[in-house]
Amino acid sequence: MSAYIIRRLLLMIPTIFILGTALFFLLRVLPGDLAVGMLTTEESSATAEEIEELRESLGLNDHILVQYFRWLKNVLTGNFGNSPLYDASVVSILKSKLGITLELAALSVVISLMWALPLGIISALTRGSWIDQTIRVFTALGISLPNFWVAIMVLLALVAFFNWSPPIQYVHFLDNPVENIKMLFLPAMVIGLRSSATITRMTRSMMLEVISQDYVRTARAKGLSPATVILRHALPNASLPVLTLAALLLAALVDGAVIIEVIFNLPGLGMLIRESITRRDYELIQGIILILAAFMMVWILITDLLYAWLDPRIRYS
Amino acid sequence: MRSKDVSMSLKSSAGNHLSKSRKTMWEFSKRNPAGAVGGVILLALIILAIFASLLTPFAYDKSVGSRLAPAGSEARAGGTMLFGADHIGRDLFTRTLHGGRTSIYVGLAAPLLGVGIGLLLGIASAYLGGVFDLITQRVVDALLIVPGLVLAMVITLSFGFTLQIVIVAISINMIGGVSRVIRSHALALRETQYVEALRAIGASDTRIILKHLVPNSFAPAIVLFAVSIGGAITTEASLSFLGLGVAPPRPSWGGMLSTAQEFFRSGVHIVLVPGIAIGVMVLAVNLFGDALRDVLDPRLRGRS
Repeated sequence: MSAYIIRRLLLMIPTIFILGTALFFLLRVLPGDLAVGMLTTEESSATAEEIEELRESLGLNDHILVQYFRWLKNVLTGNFGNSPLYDASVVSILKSKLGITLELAALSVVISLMWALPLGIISALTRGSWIDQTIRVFTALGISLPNFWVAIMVLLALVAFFNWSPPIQYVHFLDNPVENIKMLFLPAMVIGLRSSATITRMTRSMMLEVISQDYVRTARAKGLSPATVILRHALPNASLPVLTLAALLLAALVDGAVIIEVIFNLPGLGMLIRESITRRDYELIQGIILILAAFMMVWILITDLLYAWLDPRIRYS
Repeated sequence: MRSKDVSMSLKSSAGNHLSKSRKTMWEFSKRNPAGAVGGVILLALIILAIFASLLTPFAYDKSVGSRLAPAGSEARAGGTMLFGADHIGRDLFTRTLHGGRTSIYVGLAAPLLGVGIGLLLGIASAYLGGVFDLITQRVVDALLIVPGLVLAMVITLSFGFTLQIVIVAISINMIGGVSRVIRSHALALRETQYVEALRAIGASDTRIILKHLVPNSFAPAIVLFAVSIGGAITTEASLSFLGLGVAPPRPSWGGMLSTAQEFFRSGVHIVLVPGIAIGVMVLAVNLFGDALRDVLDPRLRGRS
């Protein structure tokens, strides 16, 4: 098992290296000059000397390979560069914006599981009934409706029916937990919409499979209450495959955060990604994507190991 | 038991007057009603998109009526605006139809490209093995760990906001997943006896790959194609919503939603229509794709 882990960790190195290199050259394919872009604002534009000066200081005049190796050396020492637009190191910017998105993610997961698992179970147990059909319609809609449209409709409804207006300042959890949760609840729900629908569907089909198994028949024959049979015997086995979706769910979360944070005006990681891309802050884009990707790789490894640990039938050689 | 056989044969003889392909569709519809409905809706949407210009008298980029006119109002030069007008006065119905064109084009082309490349990559990786497999799998892993929408955004930013680039950007997202599935499928195929026999009689690697592995991987590839269409449409809409998709004046439902945000107080229809359009299309595609997967999957299991 430890050999497996070591092999996985070793394989991660070339992967992240390939990604980083590809990103580096991809972003420098762009026409247009970073220095020009930085110095040219609506009010003023820069002289040729100023642009040249900035290019020198940013190291843009060196050969592309020299820039690449410089960047490589920096990354290996943990320096992901400075964002010219925010005028701070990439790592510090990331740290400051991460909190909101992490909270959104946690809320999203909690809300999703809270209603996705029960709905999936109910749907399986009442198979064929109108309850099941309704739930299936909801999951179909949940997967199909674009989450940004749902977000807009939610905002619309809030404004139209409850005379609500979007909060201007973000309230931190520690400052005012109630306000904080109020702000983040709806975005979290919208972000988790598609994932919840997928989890409900998967729970339903796994439950249906599990219920027909012999060990469930045995549990019922033993005289255990239906609740015990379901919660202690069927559900753990049925919900385990949901773990295989974990990587997909995380990716969906990040993608969702990018759009939903913009709509709800939350200054988190998603909004940062979107800002950095539209304002062409290459250092920041690169740094964010690399760090996110590295995190995703570790996450995939952890969920794979967790799955093997929870299901004794799975053993990695 | 017996009566069931009789009644089943009676039922199936009901379709006997149909030709063979119609019969297959009839049986498909009976067993997967939701999928059949989805397929029909999808077909209708495709037809609407292809004949978009013929179906409306208006252009999609010119103002023809008063701004934010409600559904059913008259245009300045005559003719009804079925869905009303948007904030510049352009006919919403026309724009929706043309936006549908974009969505369908991207929704079909991107998965086609992505699944096609993933198919070849997966088979080559599985069959050639060794260093090629090792390197290819690392590249695939690198693709998989980046969140899909973010990757697409970076690509359109780097290479331009044209339809073709958007298609490529979205297709790259799929290559990773597809190639992994096809690779494991092909690995299983490689161990079968008939491939062993082929090598024993001296068939070359290329021949085995092209004439035997590829055709036998079509079933999972088709399923992967069908289930990726919905995601492609949604990603395209998300990209244009964020302003990083196809550039105006080419209409896209996502872009229409983005501009509609400011004006929803004066006209709910401009927010409702594009969103519902996306939802209906993706729903239809998903229903059809799920049914297709149900049909093709059992056959898959039978083969290996």
